[in-house]
Formats: sequence, structure tokens, C-alpha cells
Amino acid sequence: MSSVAKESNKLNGKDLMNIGIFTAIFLFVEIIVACVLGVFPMGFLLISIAEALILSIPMMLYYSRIKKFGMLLIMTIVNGIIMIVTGMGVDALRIGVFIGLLAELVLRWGKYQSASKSIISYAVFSEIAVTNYVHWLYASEEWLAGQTTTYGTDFVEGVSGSFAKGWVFPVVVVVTFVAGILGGLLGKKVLKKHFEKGGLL
Amino acid sequence: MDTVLRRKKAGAAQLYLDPRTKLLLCITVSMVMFAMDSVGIFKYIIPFIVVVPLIFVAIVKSPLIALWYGSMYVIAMIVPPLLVPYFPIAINVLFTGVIVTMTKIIPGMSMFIFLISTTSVAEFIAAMEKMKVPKVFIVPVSVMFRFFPTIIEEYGSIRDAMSLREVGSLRKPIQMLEYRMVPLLVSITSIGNDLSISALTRGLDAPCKRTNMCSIGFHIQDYIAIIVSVSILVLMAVALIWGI
Repeated sequence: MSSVAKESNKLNGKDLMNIGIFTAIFLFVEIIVACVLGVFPMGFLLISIAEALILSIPMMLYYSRIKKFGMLLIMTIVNGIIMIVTGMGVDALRIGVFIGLLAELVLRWGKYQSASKSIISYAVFSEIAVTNYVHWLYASEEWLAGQTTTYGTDFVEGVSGSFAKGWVFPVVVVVTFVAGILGGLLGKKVLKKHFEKGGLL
Repeated sequence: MDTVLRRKKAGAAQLYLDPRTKLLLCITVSMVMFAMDSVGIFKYIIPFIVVVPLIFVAIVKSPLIALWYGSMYVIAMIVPPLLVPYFPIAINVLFTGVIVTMTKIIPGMSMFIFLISTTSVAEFIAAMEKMKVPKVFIVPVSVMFRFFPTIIEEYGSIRDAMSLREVGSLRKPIQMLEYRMVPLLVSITSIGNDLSISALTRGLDAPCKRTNMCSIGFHIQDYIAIIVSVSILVLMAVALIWGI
């Protein structure tokens, strides 16, 4: 009996395929949103919020397929490695692992079935996009201080002065969490409207 | 259909390197661009790290893309300092500051383009198996690379279909989101189901060790690349600890 339970808890080929498919969708949406919003002034800080709203539909579909431990965690680790290799820094992996683990635990708390827990878990998960700011908001200050020779003092003072504003980052985190909850509700609604009626779940 | 990764093994014309070497090069470039300032000896190393990936991209992919990335880099270097005095601080942070950070990302991006445009799926899997990456990572990553082109293709057709029917313009963002994301997900899900059944038929789930037709290994050019990137990484560590 126990061996059967153990066997069913292991990720099988189909689960791994699902991870791959939804990680591809996740990265695709992430890149599109970052490219569209990143070019506008102020749009940069909206990336994580827009992602939390847009990704809600695919992620809620993904959540409906998660029945085992590890599927979210593997997704965050793959995302983190892709971010390192494309040159976005190590924060997406370093902090992302903990976010993925936390989201996974929230989901496990609801036994992978509770709708409200999966929405909370999604809100936690959407903080993944915020990890890309960590470097830009804090370490950039040091980096810019080293840029005085190349860019001149005017520039460094103009930029680094405001990067140091402490309240920007927590506000982004909180707003992203709220957007994650709203997105989760939206995703559930869309899922009910289109996928359950269509018999795709 | 095009895949993101190459179908065939890269020949000599495509600058054949072992996938593991390419991964090391990618990591070196992104680490150095993020951790180091252009002071001391890195004043000479950073331009080198910026130019080399662009040369690789020019050889492998197309000179136009390399030129595009190169000019983006130059613009991101030159424009922000000229703009900063004329803007209030808030815009400087969120706009010009971001452009400056672009200079750190472009080299890593071009190295990544080099990685994916010269590596075939089979080579990539072989390299990951040699690196003892567990199976729970190999399968998702290879499926992911397989799916990027499919998503782009499907999304293009859905966008065309929706604009023909005039559904979901930019003025109605929620509608646009719903009527594009849902069809995309439906088609991706069914493609994914087909793909996972075909992969299971070919024994993806089998517990024994996979064999691979693709032989990968280190050659002289790999050793040169590894020596260069390891020495840059060592220099970086030295510079971070003691400072040069």
C-alpha cells in the first residue's frame, strides 16, 4: 500500500511534459510583456503587475493539473536558470527558489484541491517577476557609483539618488501580490467559463 | 517547421563548440556584466566581452542582428548621459536608468542567441545528461525549447483570426486578453497532449538510461574558450575580493 502511494507521488512523464509546456508559455508571456512595457518610461515597474494579471489564465489552467509536489518548484528553478543564462542576474534563481517553495507549500496546505489556496499560491508565485528588480533597485546604486568616470557625476547623482528610495520596492511587492489575487480570481472565472464548459479540464 | 534549437549538429562553419562550453561562456558573460564595473583591468575586459558575443552572432546567425544589438548597445551607452540633465528625477530612474541597465543585458542576450542557434535538441540533451542533470529538469527544458516556436506560430494565427473578426482591440484589454489567451491555451494544450503521448510511446518514461546518437566532446577550440572564460572568472573573483 505504501509503495503504491509513493509511486503516485513521483512525477511521471506527463507531469514533466506539462511543466515544460507551461514554463514555455510563462516565459513567452514574460518576454512579450517585458518588451512591450519596458520601452515606456515608468512601464518598467508595471511589468510584474501586468504579468500577474495576464499570466493568471495559463497559470490557473496549470494549477488545475498540479497534483504532486515539485511542479511549481521545478518551474521556478528552470525560470531562474534561463534568467541567469540570458543575463538577468542570479536573483531570479536565488530568491525564486524560496518563492516557489512557499507557493508550493501553500498549495500543499490546500491539498492541491482548494480553490482559495490556489489563488493565494498564485499570488505568491507572481512575485517571481519582482525578483528581477532586486538587482536593478538596490545593486544598481553601487554600480552607478562606479560609473562616475564614464557617465559623469550629474548622471550618477540623478539616477542613484532615486534608486535609493526605500519605499519603491515594498510597494511593488504588495501591489503585485494584490494583482496576483485579482488575477487568480479572473483566471478561475475564465477557466470556469471556457474550459470547464468545453470539457477540457 | 523551425525549432529554436537547430535540427542538425553545428558544422565547422557554425563555429562548433561543445554545448557545455557555450553554457560556460553564457554564464561568464552574464556574471561579469552584472558583477563588475569597468574599472581597473576590467576596463579592457568588458569591451572584449561585449564584442565577442556580437562577433559570434554575426558569424552564426546574421550580421544584421549583430549590427542591431551593437547599435542598441552604443545608443544605451551614449544617450542616457545626454538626456539626464533635462528630465526630473522620477523619469531618470525609471526610463534613462533602465536604458543604462540595458548595456548589462545585451551581451548576455547575444551570447544566449549564439547558444540556442548553434545547438541541436539532441546535443543539448546529451550535454545535460553528461552534466548529470536529473531527469526532472531535462524533460521540461527540452519540451520548453520544443514549444517556443509552436507558441509563436499559434499566437500569430490566433492574432490574425481575431483581428479579422475585429474581436478585442487595444481599447478593451480584458476582452483582448480573454479572446487571445483562451484559444492559445486550448490549442497548446491539445498539441501538448499529442506530444506527451508520442513521447511516452518512445519511452520517455522508461526508468533505464537513455542512449544518444549525438556524440559531443571537447576539442581544441573548447579548451581555448574554457581557459579564457575561467581566467576571466578568476580575475573577477580576485577583483571582487582584493580589488585590482
